[in-house]
Amino acid sequence: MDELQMIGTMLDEPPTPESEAAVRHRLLNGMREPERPTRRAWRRPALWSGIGLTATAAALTGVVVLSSGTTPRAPDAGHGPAVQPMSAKTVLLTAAEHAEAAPTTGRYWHVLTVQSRAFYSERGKYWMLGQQLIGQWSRPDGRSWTGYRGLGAVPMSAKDAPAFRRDGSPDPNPISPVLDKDTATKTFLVCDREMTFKQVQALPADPGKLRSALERAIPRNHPTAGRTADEVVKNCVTDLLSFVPASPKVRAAAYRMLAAMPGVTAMGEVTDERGRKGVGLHVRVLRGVADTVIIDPNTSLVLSTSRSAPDVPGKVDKELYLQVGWTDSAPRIPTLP
Amino acid sequence: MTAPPDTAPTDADLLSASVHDSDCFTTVYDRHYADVHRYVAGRLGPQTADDVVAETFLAAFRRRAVFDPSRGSVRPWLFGIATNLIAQHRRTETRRYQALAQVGADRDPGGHDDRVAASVSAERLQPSLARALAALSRKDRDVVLLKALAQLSHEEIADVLGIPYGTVGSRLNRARKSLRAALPAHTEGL
Repeated sequence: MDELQMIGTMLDEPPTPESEAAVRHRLLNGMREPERPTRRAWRRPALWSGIGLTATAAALTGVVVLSSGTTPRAPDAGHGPAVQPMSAKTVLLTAAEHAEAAPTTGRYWHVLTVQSRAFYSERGKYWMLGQQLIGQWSRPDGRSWTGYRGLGAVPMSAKDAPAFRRDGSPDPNPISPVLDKDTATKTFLVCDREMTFKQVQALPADPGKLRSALERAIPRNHPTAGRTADEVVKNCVTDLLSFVPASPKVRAAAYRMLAAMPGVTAMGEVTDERGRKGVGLHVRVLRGVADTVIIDPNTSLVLSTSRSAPDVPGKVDKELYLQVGWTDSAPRIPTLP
Repeated sequence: MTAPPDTAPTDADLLSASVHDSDCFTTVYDRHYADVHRYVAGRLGPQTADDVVAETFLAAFRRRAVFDPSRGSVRPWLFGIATNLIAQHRRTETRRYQALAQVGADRDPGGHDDRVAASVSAERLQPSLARALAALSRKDRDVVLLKALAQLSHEEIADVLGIPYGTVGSRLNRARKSLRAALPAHTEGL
């Protein structure tokens, strides 16, 4: 017996029928799902732990969410004041004020997003982003619907464009348009904790209490658990601000909390991928992990967030928010506005 | 499936057909599940293995449209995905080898009279072997375990890891040398 055979014998774990059944079950379930990052486990787990499909060497996640001018709280393009260079604090406190005044009427809380997942083509040696439009409608009674539409793929960067086109602009993850009624009620992911509509709405508006609530929400085995309170909170507040039906007072408190955080700096006026103007904020979450958040201080809406981890090459998580707010329009298969 | 019974489709055919017909992918899964699971479970233990194997096949399913048969066959491609996922569980892997090193150390070397001598010796070598395996560089260990657990050829390992054929041989030689060095001298030729 040579050393390789000895290693083979020492490490041998013959597959059991139970584990075969479990793996098959997971695979078949996963195959049926038209690959839905959705509100469940969007981006943090993959980025933090590096575990999961999205983190294989050749497939990483980007999430992009878009927004249109038809939402109740969409930016009023007509008479927004010219944005002066503002400090992060001023930006956030302005946003906080406008958050408090945001309307809260409508039958559904609605978020329309485009999520992108990165794929690497071994054949053509290029990166592309497979994109899906995802619309979510949530009723305060806990019912919710999610609609999907595949948007094909785009090259990840200008560098990838020629090879991507030469390859026939393939769609790495084709899905059919569909609208599903969600079966679960814990559809909002705050601090990587799944929350119901009621739980989200019950979050306290007092900054101190909100902070404790967020710290309690962090799952015990989460990579930020046990970190400093600032780090925990910085990891969570963008969730509250971007896609969750928290009350206006809670959103305002979240903005104020962020304004008081160290490690938050203003980047001045920036334009997002849809050409919308906003103010960029750089939020240092942990060593090696930073968020770029673009907000419109006049509406308090988050236009886009992107999280990057420089020591993970090419690893960026991006979200562009298209529509976020209350609406009376019924759930349907989403279309790009 | 209506394929003629005597011409089984290749993995690459199935994968390409699965782009429009997902069911074809389960045949790919059936063909490779056991081998991939043995490889992953050998490195990470049975519990973590179920997760990682499911993730491996799901990742393959999601990337099936960009699989390029001209760059190698499906089997090394799957092992490549699995190896990348294993790399994200380095601590689990190390703990497994440490545990194996512990288990062996506690054994009473004289207590196995009913076993054949070779197997007793192999068990007694387990701690040294497990420690030596843990001490290998990740690159060398990938090559060793693709060989020892999955019995891949040099060409397949080169495909899996995206390294030149010659590098597989040199890594394997280097690794085997340090594994042998960690074993007691009298066990040679066991």
